[in-house]
Amino acid sequence: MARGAEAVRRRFREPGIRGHEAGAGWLFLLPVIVILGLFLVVPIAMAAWVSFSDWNGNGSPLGAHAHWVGLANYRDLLTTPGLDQNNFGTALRNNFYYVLLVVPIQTAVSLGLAVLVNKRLKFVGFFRTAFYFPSVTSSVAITILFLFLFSPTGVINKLLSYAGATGPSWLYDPRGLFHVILGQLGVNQSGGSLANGFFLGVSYWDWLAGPSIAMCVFIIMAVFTTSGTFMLLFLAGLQNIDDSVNEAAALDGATEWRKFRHVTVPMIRPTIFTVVTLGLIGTWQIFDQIYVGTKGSPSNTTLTPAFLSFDTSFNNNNWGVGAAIAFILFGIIVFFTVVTRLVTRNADRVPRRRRFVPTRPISDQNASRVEPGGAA
Amino acid sequence: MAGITFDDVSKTYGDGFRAVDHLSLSVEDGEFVVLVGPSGCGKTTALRMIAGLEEISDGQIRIGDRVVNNLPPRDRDVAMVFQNYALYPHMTVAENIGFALRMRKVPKQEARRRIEETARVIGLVDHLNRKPGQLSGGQRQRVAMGRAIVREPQVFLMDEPLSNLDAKLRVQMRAEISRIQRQLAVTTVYVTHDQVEAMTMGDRVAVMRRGVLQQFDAPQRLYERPANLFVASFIGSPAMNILEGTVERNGDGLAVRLGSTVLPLPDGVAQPGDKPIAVGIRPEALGDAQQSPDRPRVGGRVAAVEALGPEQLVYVEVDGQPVLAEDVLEGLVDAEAAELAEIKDADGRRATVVARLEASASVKPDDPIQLSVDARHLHFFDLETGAALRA
Amino acid sequence: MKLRRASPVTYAFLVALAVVYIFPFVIAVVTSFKTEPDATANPLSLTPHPATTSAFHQLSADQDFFTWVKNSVIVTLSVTFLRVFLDSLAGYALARLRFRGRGAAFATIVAVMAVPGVVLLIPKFLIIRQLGFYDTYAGMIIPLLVDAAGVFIMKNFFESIPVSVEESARIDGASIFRIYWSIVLPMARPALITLFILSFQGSWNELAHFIISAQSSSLNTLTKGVAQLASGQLGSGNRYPLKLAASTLMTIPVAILFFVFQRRIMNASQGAVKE
Repeated sequence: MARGAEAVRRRFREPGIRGHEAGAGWLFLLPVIVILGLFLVVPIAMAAWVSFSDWNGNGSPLGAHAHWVGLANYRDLLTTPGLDQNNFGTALRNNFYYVLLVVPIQTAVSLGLAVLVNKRLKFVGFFRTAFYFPSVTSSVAITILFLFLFSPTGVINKLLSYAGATGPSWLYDPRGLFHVILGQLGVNQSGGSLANGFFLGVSYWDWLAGPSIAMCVFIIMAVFTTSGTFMLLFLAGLQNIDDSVNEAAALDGATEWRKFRHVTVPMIRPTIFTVVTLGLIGTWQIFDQIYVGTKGSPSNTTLTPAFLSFDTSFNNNNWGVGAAIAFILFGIIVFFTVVTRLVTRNADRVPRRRRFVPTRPISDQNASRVEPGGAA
Repeated sequence: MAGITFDDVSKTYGDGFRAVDHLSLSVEDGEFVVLVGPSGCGKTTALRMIAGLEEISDGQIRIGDRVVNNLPPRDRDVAMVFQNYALYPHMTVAENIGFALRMRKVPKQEARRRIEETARVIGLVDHLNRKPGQLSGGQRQRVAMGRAIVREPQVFLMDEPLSNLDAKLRVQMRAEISRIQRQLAVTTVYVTHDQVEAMTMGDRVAVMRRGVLQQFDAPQRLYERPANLFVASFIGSPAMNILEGTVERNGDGLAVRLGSTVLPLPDGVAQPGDKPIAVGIRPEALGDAQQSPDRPRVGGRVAAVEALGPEQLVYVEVDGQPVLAEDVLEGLVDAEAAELAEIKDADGRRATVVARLEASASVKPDDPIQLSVDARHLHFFDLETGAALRA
Repeated sequence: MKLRRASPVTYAFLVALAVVYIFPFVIAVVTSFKTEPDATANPLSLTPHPATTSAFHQLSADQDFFTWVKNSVIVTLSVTFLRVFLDSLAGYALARLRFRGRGAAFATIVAVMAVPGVVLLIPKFLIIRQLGFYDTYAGMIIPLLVDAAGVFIMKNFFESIPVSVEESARIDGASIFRIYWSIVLPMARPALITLFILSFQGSWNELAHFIISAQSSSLNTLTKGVAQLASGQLGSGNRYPLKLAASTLMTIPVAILFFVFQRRIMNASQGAVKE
């Protein structure tokens, strides 16, 4: 009988003891769902359509102005030799070197900063604030500041001149870093046979150029602005380490470096992976700095896929190709995220062999925390 | 004011776990009823079903003559005191107490009057403008009480309201809650796992185990006539001694044998040749044999003595087999883990019994001792069902 | 936890690093008081010679700059307050209210959180144009109103509040919205402040979205306006004092917010991280 009453109540939507909770729940979620749906889900679908179309920006992409062209846009980027392919290949190369340098350096720098400000210090608040401050300022302001610092007659070159060196013209210098180094070593700058093979419209020799001197400015800027944020992440990780572990290691006679290498690093391994993952996701998206700073110049050596996607669509009205670049970039980011995930999972297992084994007994609780990944 | 009726109420969770199992019970108008039992016995679930915080899977709950099954909490006219007090941390004491009045759109003037009156009852007149964070544990508990009192509800519900206080304050607040309840004569359901709290506060006590109501009676009745092994071992501190006994004929009458001890058995409880039964002896039913020479005796060796001032608890190892049924062990909630382990480790032929002796009796560990047994106050239970066996 | 005391070498190293991190900002502020030739000739000098406030005068005389400030304020305040409100509403529903589809809704929000922002520039432009919001405040504000990470932060916080407080309020007669507004929200102040800081900083510093959602110069925000200034389309010379003055002014609000809530930002590192 009671079951029957329950069913009747359900049917007539009479409030039970929890009142109109279901209604309220959806009502509370409604704005978020609508906005996320309208400005994320729906537009992604629209952009997917555009990436398979020849839409040129006139009228609505859903109307008569856009025609289905299949994979043509993707082919233009990946397989058909031409300007699109060359630009895209160049942008990928530029961003690849940017990621390759920024991610390890910012991880190491922010970890170093965190270790430094995790000591018992006077003015520790001041130091933390100083290192974190660049993270809160806008990319526009920081980029302008770096344009000034690295201008040919700017602060950096002035400093270099005191040291008796002549600085490059930085943001105006398209030479690849590796090419420059090879040049110093006397390697022929024409690239020899490497100049004849092409991948994504870019010669092998150019693939090996390394980041341009101009791109190096953005690399330094990225480290400068993000190291504070990641320092805070590492600091949180370090503060979770029980100090008795460090003390035990110190009593064992471990040097500072050995302690860092064999105690600290394994214990904050989860944070390291978080920082690397966030770093990978962030660095593949570099846009603001390029937009404000160089718009891809000199000689396209600071062109990035994100900026190229924007430029191709908004300035050249080649929306199909622009959207296709965005989707390929999305794929790249997903790929790297997944790869880091997998590496993390494997790395969690591997280091067990090398884990810190104190010769003095430490409490069980601490011993278990030495295990890498335990705090994940 | 109103009574509360549980009519065959069950609560089944999504995973099939039955927290409350066919509970029928009625609380009289103005009565103070305590739900007691070990953790997981369903007492809190039952309380939350009265409050409307937990759906009722089956059966009916009535407050007065109104079925409240589908009524949201605010329409039930009940007030609840939570174990962690659940005060609103950002509101002052006055705002905490007055929140329910504000929700019910009680006019400001009247609300103020009622808040002040309540503050007097709970003795926090000087603290009305403080926030919970600035109060001691006892004061917070009073605010939680005040929040219930100011409502003038039909029913007070209290969920282990004293368990976060230290022992001394707990005793004090116990008396205070009883006083306030008597003064206001509001029907009260009080949940606790502490049988002392249950015995001292409740007009009637409902003992629950694994979702099932075991016995619902006045505290003294529970103590004197426990319905089953669980209630017998749960109620009373120290717990009742429960030993296994075999029924035999002794001259004209019947007797029950516990190891080497033979105690008279009233007619009609059990027959010779039946399976063994459980025999319960309260610690105070055991005495110094020298003072009552005509009573039956149990001999043994003193294992430990706890002096409590006016009396002493004497642990005596006797010849006999302890009853280690699950319901007995579950009832021994006050026993410490070590004690339980010791009880379980007994080789099956030696049992430790507790006797409550006068302080004057001189006993020392390892001494042999003779205890007298007050045969009028023995309890008998079916070993299999756990049910009390009565003449 | 006990920490090792730092050695003088550590101090020296830290001070050197701090100089590296702070010096650029000092240079920026000093340069904004320089004349253009002075800035070009003596970029390292910490004393403007001659000192001038002409860059600031120029900016304050410039009608455009005021438009940028006005737009940034309008957009940032609308986005920040509404976002905190909407994210907390959704976070509360996901943390506490029971309804069918809650799990699916949460999964969707988490999935959405994983989509990188830069990839969405073209899609967002398309929908904004399709809806007729292009080149309006609505187009600049509405898409920024909700961020999945904020919903996530609020949900986690609400789950940490003891549920009995809300149950108590229910028994006291409060409706669902009343519990949210009068009980839960005041208790969530720390999380709300975190979210406020993140939203303010995020929308004040936002550039890409404003580039794709509007084109009229009357809708330029500070970031967009100053970015155009940087591209040098507004005149000749390098104009670094002017650009750096604009950047300095632009940084002031977030700097104030940062220093006011410094301790909270430094401690609440886990939830307060944004790439």
